[in-house]
Formats: sequence, structure tokens, C-alpha cells
Amino acid sequence: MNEHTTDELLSAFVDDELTGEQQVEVLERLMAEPKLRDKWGRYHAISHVMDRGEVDLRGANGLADRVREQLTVQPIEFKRRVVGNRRTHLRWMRPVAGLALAATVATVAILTVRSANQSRTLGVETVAQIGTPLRWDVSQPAVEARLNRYLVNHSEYMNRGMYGMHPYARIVGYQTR
Amino acid sequence: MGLAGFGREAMAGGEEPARFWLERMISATRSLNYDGTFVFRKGSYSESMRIIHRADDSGERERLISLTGAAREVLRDNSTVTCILPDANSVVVGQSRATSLVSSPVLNADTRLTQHYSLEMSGMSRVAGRPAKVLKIRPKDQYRYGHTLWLDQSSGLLLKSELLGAAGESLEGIEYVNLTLTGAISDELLRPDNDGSRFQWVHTKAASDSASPTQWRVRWLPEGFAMSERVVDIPSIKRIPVEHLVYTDGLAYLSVFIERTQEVEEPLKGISRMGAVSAFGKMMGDYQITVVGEVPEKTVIQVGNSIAKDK
Repeated sequence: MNEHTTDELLSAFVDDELTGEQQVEVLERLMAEPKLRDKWGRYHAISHVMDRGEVDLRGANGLADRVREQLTVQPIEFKRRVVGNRRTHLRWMRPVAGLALAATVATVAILTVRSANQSRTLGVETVAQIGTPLRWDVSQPAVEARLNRYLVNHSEYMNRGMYGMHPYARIVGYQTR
Repeated sequence: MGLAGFGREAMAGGEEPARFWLERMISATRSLNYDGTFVFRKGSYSESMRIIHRADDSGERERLISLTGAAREVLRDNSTVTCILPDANSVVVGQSRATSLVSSPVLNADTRLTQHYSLEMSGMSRVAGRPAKVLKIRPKDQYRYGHTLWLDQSSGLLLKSELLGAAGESLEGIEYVNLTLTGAISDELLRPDNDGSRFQWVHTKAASDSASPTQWRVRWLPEGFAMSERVVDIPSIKRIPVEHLVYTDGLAYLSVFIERTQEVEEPLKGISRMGAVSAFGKMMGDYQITVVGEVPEKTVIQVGNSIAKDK
């Protein structure tokens, strides 16, 4: 896979546009390649800036400062990116001067892999695909908000059972678009 | 019978009962320190996440992080569950209802579980590079879902799961890509990347069920379901109490929410779904009744239609 393709794949990963199998592939590479993790961190930070227009700084051992310095001198090219329901073409993009990096960059530094002697075989199985809704299938925002509040409370009781924090994956993975 | 009892029975008989592995999974989930990355699947949709868990003398702390899409996080400790939702500019804070590391609803509902589900060990597999025991849990009626679990042979931790619909289709599941069992988890790993200080904070406080008895009756439940909790949640914004009744058969959970609505509120009427979660809503006078659970639609509909108010 060439560098150009890798960048597109990584950008799509950050933008949540990959299939399950593709995500597994990217995660494997992220775990094995420190330089790719650095690049992921920059993409994730830029994505956060573009989505929110502001970023919270939570430096982690100076990592945020180092990445910010790097971004200042090395712009990152985005070919196309979905923002909301629009496709926005960006040629070269620099972070807005003075903005700090998203705290999610720190995640890169701590997303370590302790592969040890473990096999890299993932054994990903194809699951049956059905038309499963990704969010509550209601049209009223107030109803959706209430259902989400109920889901948070409901999930805490599931947390007491067999699945630990996994029920909260529905909240973390809730699709807003 | 505690976990140790199951272990002795297993070794003596030369057989590993499914219930032993289920209980081992629950114990490991709550008592071990681990850091893992997994893919969460809902039908054809997938999202990558990271989970960090620490258990020590002070209790449990956990952190769940989205690695794709919006940078959402859920953090839990002994007293609080905090959901940080940057794309919604909000933080939802609820009460943690963590139990002792050695107790679980499954253990307490042991008899009920096998009355309504069949449990079967189904060989070995391999997930995240680790040997895994396969455990199949199948419902004996149409009112609940089935599960297939892949459990780490060494620790008992869950490595992969599938929640199965009536036709055996996978509705939802997780699969670990990487899992590290570690001796130490630092406080820094358990802190959120975004403290949410610029977001709207919604706090839900729960009052105990020692308050006045409920006026509501759920007259039908699938066999084996019994009430496990009754609380009154008070969201910080609207301050309207929400009565929350929790039912479980030891594996699946159903919640009934009863909330007095104002005229401007839009009620949920009928069924809604999100992945494996079904919700049914109806109005009874000024009250919005909502049933939520990881059960088929017909279950929440029947439960919801059976709810009546004492006169």
C-alpha cells in the first residue's frame, strides 16, 4: 500500500467511513507502526478542529506541543472530507494559528502495543448483515434526546451484569449523522 | 455457590460447565486490570473503541473511548458514570451502581438462567491472538435474544461477543483486536482527554426506592424476569422525577421509565429501535411510559401494553 493510499485510508478511519474489516486492518497497522500513529494523531486533531472550531489543550508530556510545532511547518493535505452533509474540498490545510491540539492526540502516545509473542492473526469473521438502525429511528429530536437519557440510565444496570462497560459502547458509538 | 465452588466441581468432574465460564467471565471483567482495543459492530456498522479497566482496594475505575468518529468517552468509578459527548456539546452524569466484585445478577439468578436459556460450551477458537473458549447461550422462548461468547482461556475475559436475533442473525457484537492484561493502570490513563468544561452538564440524581410505593404495575413480563431495582431519577435540567423500574432474568435487562410530561413535550408513541435495543412508548394520561431493553420488539410492546396505574 503506497503512502497516498495510506493517507486516504487513515483519513477515512478518522472520519468513521471504513467497514469493520478495514478498521481492523488500520488498527493493526497503528499498533505496529509508531510513525503511522503520529500521523493518526495529527489527523484526529485536525478533524476535531474542523468539527468544533475549538480544541481543548491537554498536554501529555509535551506531546501536544511537539505535534503542534510539526503541524506549523508541515501542512497536511486533505483531498476530500465530509463535513455534516456536505462534501468540502480542501487542498492544503493548516491549523488555525494559536489553537492547541486536541487532547485526543495524547491517546496516540498511550495507544501502545504489547504484542509480545502474540500472533497477529485476528480471525475476523464476517457477520450476518441486516438493516440494523444506527440511531433511534424517531424523527423528533426531543424524543431522541429522552431515549438517549434513558439508555444511559438503563446501561448502568447492564454494567452490573455480564458485560462490564460494553453496553456503553452503544452510547460511545451512537451515530448522529 | 460461589465461584470457588464451581471451580472445585469442574475439576472434580473433569468437565467445564458453561455456568462456570460465564461466572468466570463476570469475575474477570470486574476484578482484573486490562487495556484493550475492540471493534463494536451493529449490523453492518462498525466502530473502534478502547477500554481501560482497573480494580483495586478502592474499587473499580473504567474508561471507554471512541477511536473513530466523534471523540466520545464514558468514565465510571464507584459513585459516578460520566458520558462525555463532544459532538452534542454535553456531559451526562449518572449514578454508578457498581456492585461488589464477587457478586453478580447471574450468580443470584442461577436457577432462572438455565430455565430460560440453554448454555453450552462449543469448542475453541482464537481471538486477538488468544485461545478462546466458545460459549453459546440460547433463549428458550421468543422474548429474549441469544448470545455467543468467546472467552479468553487464560483469564476468562470476554474477547468477542455476538447478540443474536430470532433468526440467528448478528444484531450487535464486539471483537477485541488487542488485549493486554496488566499489573498496573495509571491514573493518567483513566482521565478523559476532554474534561467537558465547556459543555452543558446534565446530572441525574437517583433517590432510593424507600420512597412512597410505586403506583404503577407491570402486569406482564416474560417468564423469569423479576424486578431488581426501583429508583427515581431526577435530571438536573428539568427537575421532573422519572420513575425507573428495572427487571432482569439474570441475563437480559428491561427498564420501564415513567415520566410526567408537559404539554410541549413530544411523546414517544409506539416502537423505536437502535441496534439490538428496542423501545416502546405510550401515553397514560399525563405520563410518558417507555420500556427499553435488549430484547425483541414484541417483548417491549407486550410489557408496555400491560402497564397500568393503581387507582
